[in-house]
Amino acid sequence: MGEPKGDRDEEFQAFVIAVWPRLLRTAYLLAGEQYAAEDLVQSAAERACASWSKVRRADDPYAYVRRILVNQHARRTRRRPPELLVEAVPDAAGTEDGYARSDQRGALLAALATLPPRQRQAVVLRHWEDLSDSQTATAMGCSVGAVRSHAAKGIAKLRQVSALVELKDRTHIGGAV
Amino acid sequence: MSSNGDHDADVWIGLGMAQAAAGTRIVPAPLADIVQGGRRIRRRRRTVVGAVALASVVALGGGALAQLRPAPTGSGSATSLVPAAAPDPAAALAKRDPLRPARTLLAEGTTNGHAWKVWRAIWPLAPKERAYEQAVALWQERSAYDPRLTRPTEEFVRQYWQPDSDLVNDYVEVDGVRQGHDSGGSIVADGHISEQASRQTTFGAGMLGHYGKDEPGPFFPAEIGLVDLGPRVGKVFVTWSDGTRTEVPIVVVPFSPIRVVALAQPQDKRSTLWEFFDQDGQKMPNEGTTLFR
Repeated sequence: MGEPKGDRDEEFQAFVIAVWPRLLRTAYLLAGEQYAAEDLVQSAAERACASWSKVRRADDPYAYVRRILVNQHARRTRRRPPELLVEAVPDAAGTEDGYARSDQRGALLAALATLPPRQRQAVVLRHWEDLSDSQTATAMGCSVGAVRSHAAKGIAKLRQVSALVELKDRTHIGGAV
Repeated sequence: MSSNGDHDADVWIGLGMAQAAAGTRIVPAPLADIVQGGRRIRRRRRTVVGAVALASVVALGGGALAQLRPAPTGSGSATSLVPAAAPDPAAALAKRDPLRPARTLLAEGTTNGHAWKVWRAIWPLAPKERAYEQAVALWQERSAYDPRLTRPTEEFVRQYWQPDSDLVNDYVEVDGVRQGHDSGGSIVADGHISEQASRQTTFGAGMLGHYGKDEPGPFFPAEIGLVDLGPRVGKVFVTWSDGTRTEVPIVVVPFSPIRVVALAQPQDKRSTLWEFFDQDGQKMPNEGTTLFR
């Protein structure tokens, strides 16, 4: 406790500056929309600020805040039906160029948006944040079995999206976007 | 990605998400808002303090607004432009000194016996090497009225310094005493607005001192709304829910391309339509202003 308040504030601000881009990208995948993502991350950061003395003592402060972010996302989507950002996912992407890649980005976001929130969280945390099942379970506040179930169902749905066919053949990212 | 088998088979999902995530626009972290929000949450946990705050909010918000009167414009008896610095030569000097803000009275009125004034202080664009000094000076001024504000860090100022923006600070005085719950940020500086941006109707609108559902206010005798306008806007009309239509005065802020409409929120009616006209009387698009709706 003896630490001056100003130092704590500076430490928190430095932490937020460092993790903000990564959190924003994760929130973007969860929320599917820029402004909703910004709102989600700000809300999580405010809660982290309120509990900073606890967050900073955590083994992995980023993981702590990510869990807050996921909880916030769950809370906001609990009473709402899954968002549909587009009326229909496009049937096929065009040729392999920047525009096609951009289409696929949109298609993936649109496909993610059709997943129920818990499935979306499981897929994003495992495949974007690259967490193990147990780490994902910690972040989502559920059992490992539930994570596996959510992720399997979510991925099965994504596999069925024809607009993502080209992505499935991809094993690397390259070229200008 | 992960080491488990299914995960490896679905590596395309991770790659696709990496591409999708690359489309995220990385905006600066709104640190001041975050820190204030965090403190609000902490305070809310202390329920006794919360109850006292609620009681004071109810007391402040209970009475009817006595007046709805923005600062008079040029056609009135007093000028709407009240820079704190002396007239032109000194003001021009103030424009060049990043530590001397130019202050403009945006609106004033009396509500429930309390006189209030809304001010905009423009802290002129500072060169990068003086940006931190300026940020600290602004923080010192603001934190005297709102101790919850955190001192800016040099790293933060360096990272988010903009070569084309002034700092702006909108605040309220009640019975001659400056209040907390002000707003601070950046705003395009004089001489730096692009041709495209100069054709824009509005640059944002909102309630001064409104921090959201956790601490909704009101913090002042009257609730104050501000609309930032582009330099080409000549007239603004608001149609109210009782069918009346009023022209609201535009305040030209010295040393800033952004004009302002500042209003106290009427308690007995809401806005149904905002209309904007340029200086030739041509209608300009309403880019979504729904203040007081």
